[in-house]
Amino acid sequence: MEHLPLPAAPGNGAVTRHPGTAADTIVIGGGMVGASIALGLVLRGHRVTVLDEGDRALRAARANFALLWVQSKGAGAPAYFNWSRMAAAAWPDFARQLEAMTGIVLHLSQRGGLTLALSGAEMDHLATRSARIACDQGSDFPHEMLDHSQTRALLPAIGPDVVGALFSPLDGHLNALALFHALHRAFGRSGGHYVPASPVRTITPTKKGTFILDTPHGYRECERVVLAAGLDNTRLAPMVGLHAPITPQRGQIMVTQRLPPFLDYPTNALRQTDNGSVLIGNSQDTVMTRQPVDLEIDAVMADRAIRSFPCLQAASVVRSWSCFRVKSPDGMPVYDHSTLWPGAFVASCHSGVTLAPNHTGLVCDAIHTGIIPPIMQAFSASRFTLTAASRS
Amino acid sequence: MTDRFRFRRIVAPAGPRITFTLDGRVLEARLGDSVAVAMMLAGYPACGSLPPTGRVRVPYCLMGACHECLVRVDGRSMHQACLLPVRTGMCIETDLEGHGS
Ligand SMILES: Cc1cc2nc3c(=O)[nH]c(=O)nc-3n(C[C@H](O)[C@H](O)[C@H](O)COP(=O)(O)OP(=O)(O)OC[C@H]3O[C@@H](n4cnc5c(N)ncnc54)[C@H](O)[C@@H]3O)c2cc1C
Repeated sequence: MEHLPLPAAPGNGAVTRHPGTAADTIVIGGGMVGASIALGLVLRGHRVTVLDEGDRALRAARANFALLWVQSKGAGAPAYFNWSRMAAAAWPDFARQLEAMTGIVLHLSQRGGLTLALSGAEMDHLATRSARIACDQGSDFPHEMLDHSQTRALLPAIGPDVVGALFSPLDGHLNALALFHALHRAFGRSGGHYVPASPVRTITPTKKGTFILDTPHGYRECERVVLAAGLDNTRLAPMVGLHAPITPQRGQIMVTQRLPPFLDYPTNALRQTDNGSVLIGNSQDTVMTRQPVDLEIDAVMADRAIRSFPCLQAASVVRSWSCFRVKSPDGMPVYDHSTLWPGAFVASCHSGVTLAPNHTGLVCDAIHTGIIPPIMQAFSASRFTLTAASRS
Repeated sequence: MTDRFRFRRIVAPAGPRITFTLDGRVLEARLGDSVAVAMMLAGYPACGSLPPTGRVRVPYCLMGACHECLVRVDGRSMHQACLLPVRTGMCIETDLEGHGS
């Protein structure tokens, strides 16, 4: 049986109890991480069902900045730098395959990226952080610190306030909505089954080693379950003996009218899309409420954008949005396999666009075999409980 | 002209006839129409070009979300034609040359 027929109306308290589906694997959450993993599993021969929420849920997959970003990752945490760099190296092939499977153009560009410094102090910070990463990597961190004129050679539109920049050839960007669309289309075309408006309320492990998931449309049973529910992983993980301390961190983005191409490289705070729009935003705040766009944050971001690229003074902002990032306490991903309830996995990360090839690749190998390879072991959530214990 | 783009009014026009100009051409509309609807019914829906490709953009969502219908109105740019009621004597400009031909 491929899937359950859904009742016309969602449950009204008296939930009908369906017998479980025979899906091998259920992925909870159809966001950037869930869609990547679901595709990888279906390509490995699993029968996969994705249970997702509805359109009004909190969904970083639809609101992100679309950078493939390595240069700022993992100062003092080499495993994270390596993991991100590995993803960046896998991107060209991954994009080609996805495009071939779906006919969707991802507009991948990996010519490198910059972080602009608008003061000497910012320049120092970038240099210190980069030196630390280079040290961790035994000098194997391709990057350059550029002065103003070197920066202008790459980005002729910069203003006089730009002191310099960090450039790394490892970085890039793409159209993240096209990526998200392509992941879902490839999953569907490969036989995967996607069920929207099906938030999982509880997961109950059974004695025979399966899992029973409670949704508004009834119960579903599976042999393997992957928690890819973004911010909701924190609530779901303990139900299957896992731990996923994720907190929301709000980010805000502004979009300008479409402009003639003037930015050949993305920066960490500003990039021009394949449509000509300029996306501005790298704000980070920890407002927990689901409040709308904060205009003061927009003002700060706009001011920085105009100092970086004075031509933006004349551009109009056509929209702005905010969304929650999916962040662990140290900013690194969380991947784990439950020892208490084998067959239950959790995956959460802050850079789900960048890491998509790893999620469809190595993370799916780990789920398929049940063995977490050494390169992923640094991302076990046990790192949080261990540090907490050693501190006390 | 209306046939060319297959837009036609299917409810009785609300207001009286007025005229406005689009890239210098005098056109007729009904009071109560939006600028976008007035342009579409007059047979000239093109609002501008897309910078990277030069392709023509036209009103798409008609509810203020897509920003495909940005036009210049009485000298001020970046007006969403779908949200702006047309008025007598309004001067609408696109960035297209040879508009409508
Ligand atoms: C402003 C901003 C900018 C960003 N910029 C970048 C960037 O430039 N580069 C980059 O690599 N990353 C970026 N990210 C991060 C990236 O978007 C996230 O890492 C990624 O979306 C996380 O994927 P996820 O699947 O864990 O969460 P999401 O994409 O949020 O998906 C979670 C999904 O699970 C569903 N769900 C939740 N609870 C349940 C439940 N109980 N049952 C069923 N379904 C459930 C949700 O509805 C949602 O569809 C950015 C994020 C933000 C917010």
